[in-house]
Amino acid sequence: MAKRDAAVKVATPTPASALVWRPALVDRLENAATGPVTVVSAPAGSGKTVLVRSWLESRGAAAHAAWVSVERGERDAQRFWDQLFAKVRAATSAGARPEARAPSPNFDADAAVDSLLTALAALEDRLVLVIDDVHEIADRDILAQLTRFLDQLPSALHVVLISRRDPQLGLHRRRLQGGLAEIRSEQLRFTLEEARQMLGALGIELSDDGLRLLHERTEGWVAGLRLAALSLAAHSDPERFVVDFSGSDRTVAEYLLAEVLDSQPAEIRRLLVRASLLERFNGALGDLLTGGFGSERHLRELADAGSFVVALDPERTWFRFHHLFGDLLAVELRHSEAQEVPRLHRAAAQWYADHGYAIEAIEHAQAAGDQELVAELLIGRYFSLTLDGRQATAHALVEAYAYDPLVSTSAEIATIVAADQLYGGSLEHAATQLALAQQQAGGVPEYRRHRFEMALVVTRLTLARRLGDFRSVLDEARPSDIAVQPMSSVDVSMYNDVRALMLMNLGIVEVWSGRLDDGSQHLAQARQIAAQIPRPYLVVACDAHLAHALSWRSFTAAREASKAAIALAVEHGWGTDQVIGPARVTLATALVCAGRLDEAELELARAEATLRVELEPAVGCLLQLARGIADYARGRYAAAIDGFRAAEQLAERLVTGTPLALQIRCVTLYAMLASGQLEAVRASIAGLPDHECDTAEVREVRAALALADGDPDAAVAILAPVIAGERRSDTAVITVRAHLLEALARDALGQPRAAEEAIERALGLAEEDALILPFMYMTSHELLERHPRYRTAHGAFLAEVLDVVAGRPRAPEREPPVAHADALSDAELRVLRYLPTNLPAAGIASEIYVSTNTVKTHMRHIYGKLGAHSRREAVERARELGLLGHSARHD
Amino acid sequence: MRAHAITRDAPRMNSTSRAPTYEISVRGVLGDTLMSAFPALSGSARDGNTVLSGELPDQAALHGVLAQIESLGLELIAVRRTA
Repeated sequence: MAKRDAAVKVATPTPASALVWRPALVDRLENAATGPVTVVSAPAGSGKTVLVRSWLESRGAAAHAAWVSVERGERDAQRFWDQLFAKVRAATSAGARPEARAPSPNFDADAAVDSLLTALAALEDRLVLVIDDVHEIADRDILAQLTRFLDQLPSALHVVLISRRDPQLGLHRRRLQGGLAEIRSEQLRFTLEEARQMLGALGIELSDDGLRLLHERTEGWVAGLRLAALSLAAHSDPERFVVDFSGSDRTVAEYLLAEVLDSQPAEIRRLLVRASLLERFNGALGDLLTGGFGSERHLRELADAGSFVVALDPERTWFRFHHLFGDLLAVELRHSEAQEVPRLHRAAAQWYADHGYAIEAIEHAQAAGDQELVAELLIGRYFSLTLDGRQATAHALVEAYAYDPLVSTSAEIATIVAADQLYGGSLEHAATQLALAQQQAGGVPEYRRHRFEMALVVTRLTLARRLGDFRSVLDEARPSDIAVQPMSSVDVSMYNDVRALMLMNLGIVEVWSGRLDDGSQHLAQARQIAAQIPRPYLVVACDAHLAHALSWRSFTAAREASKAAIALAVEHGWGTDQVIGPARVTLATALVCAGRLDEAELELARAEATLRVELEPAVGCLLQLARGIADYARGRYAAAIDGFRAAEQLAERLVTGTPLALQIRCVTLYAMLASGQLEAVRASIAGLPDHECDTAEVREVRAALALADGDPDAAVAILAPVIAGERRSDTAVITVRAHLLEALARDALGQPRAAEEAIERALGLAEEDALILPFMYMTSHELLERHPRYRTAHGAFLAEVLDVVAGRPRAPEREPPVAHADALSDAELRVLRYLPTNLPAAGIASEIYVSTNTVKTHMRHIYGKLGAHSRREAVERARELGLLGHSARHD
Repeated sequence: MRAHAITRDAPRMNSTSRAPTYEISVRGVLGDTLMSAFPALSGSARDGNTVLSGELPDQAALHGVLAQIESLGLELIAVRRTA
């Protein structure tokens, strides 16, 4: 299997238990924990983290706490909130545990905050949430999201913010409202007594004078005292050390760092200084940077000494420096070995790339100034990073590199910039960059060619999908041409991700341009690859679009498919993610077609909340269309026309026309007819091009207009090619409507038999897909009421249609009860379908060519199996169970 | 989603006036190592403290220096624009 992007484990820092117990500060934290927020704000090295950790340790394991350490320079909202989710989930029990959520390329931070708040509102036991290194949040949006979170904190949640400076989280307002407890640098300084305790705990003996001198010189700064202790432990004459230190005017940190480094063997000194290049490191990286052996052992020993190297995992394989110490060492490295730095960065980049750490690899290649390596890594990993939900980080990497005026443009960079612009940037800029990439494609070295081409195709298809520029790309994008043999493990994973993306976008574009077979096939192929990789996000995306494609053939099938897709999305925490939008819109459309307007409107509201129209204008168009039709079916014509106009505007944004455009135009005309705007409709039709006038859709509008004009002869003539099947529509709704119009026209002409036959054809076609909508459109109630029940082959369906048209309530839809459906035999089901009609047993018997006694036997069995005592009860029960109505088939 | 900046231009400087100069005072005397963390500025000891002075092209550069001071655990005493 392809190797997935590795992620360095981020563990809660576990500093050795505090050397100094600080009861006054611990009490202060404990007392503050009944309020909403505590902020611990003081400069680096003040002992903030150790204090809060020792407070939590003192509360014991039973007290619930979640600890989040903000990543250095955090600008990735999804990473921040995902970490917070994970830590809070681990610290809460079932009732108040937030839903698991998998990373998404379309992260919605506000929705994530809402779901977190909703879940935590059910907290019963008090929970402490610590956010450490808040000052590392480098993105204003994350700060705004966090501010909102703090404003709406559930009462059982207490948040401790640890920061080097006052974070921009509305602290002043909280202070005034009395909702803020604070611990600041003055309180964190060690007293003389605390300094004595710390040195004592480390086995260092110092005279009272020496101690006082050291305390004065460091001003109780905890990091200074710790560094001093490290030097003192190795020093032969501690008193002398303190006097020298005290006599120096150098800054505390610099003086002590030099002392600490001097006291180390050369090997360890080199390891410490060079490892400062890395945010996190292990033994292998240490050996690589120092050219030595045994780094792992050294690192474990340093971590055990518990001062400035922190182990990040229980196995103690990954480490990081205490931030202040790491920053001081980094300065030392640049001072003493400046010329080595690029080489070290390059070596680290290569190690990270070989071991699947894409982000670290790219960062170090950038730091090394190795543009070739950055380009190669970026183009190889960009798409996988976005699929991993690390789009913000990927964007930061692209921004730091590709927008650097010193980096020369190339086809590869242009492709990545284009891909990056597709997420939240400018489509125009993306198109320009893509054109540039194609122009300069010749300059891409042979060995990087296939990566480049795959990236180019997938970006082109994504842009086409966003612009609705469907047809122009279809002839160019041939995924089969790009069947390159992958070479390395990074190639394999990129190959799979990009191939799935490519096929999916191709399929979507094809479906929207009306090539349903090709589109569905490509979507199914993409889904298969995505399921193998596995990339559940792409599986859900494919399912959502497959459901939409299905709706062009069968709304019943599309309804089931979209429900399944939605269920899968919800499982991954993507119930409100953009990815499921197409399935929600499809479900809503199918519900409208089945005449289930209440449920449809509920689903439309959900779809609207989910969908980002700027990302998916075609789906937005479908949404507006469905909303308009639902309004129409309710007789709200003006609202319907508004909806259709909105749909039309979105359709116009699509570069390539969609088959929907014609439908939108025609339903608009229908709604205008219904609201009596006959002349406006006539004028619109007159303005249509000939080939459109000849389509089934427009012929229907024309026939309806002729009927409204009182000219049924003309209506029959206009409809004739549609009734004869010479003019077809993509959807059965249109065909059913044509037969209904025919029925109205024949009735007006005094041809009841022909009208009856047309109704019968309409009912037959509609029942196949449980289409009730066409009957709601039409002024055909009276005709339907008159339709002879004893002669129809669609009695149950007709009864349902009449119920809906008359506005009688229907049982809410339920999952078909398979056991019951199986329990009724085919013969019983056949009889059941006649029960909603007024037909007596004898009438049913003659309809289905059996004896009256047989029918009565079936009815008894039906009553028994459904637990019903009367025919009416049986019908109700059967409706509830879904045995009648949409899922009742007449085969 | 935030809109991406797409400019490749370097930050525009006012061509008629020079970049502003600053004096930034920190507590204690900085040795060669710590001074190397501020390559754009020159340092001089004054009354047991250090004054870092020099041209900084814009506010972003100034804040970059202040962030560096913070991350190295140095105590900031004063910031003054001199020209």
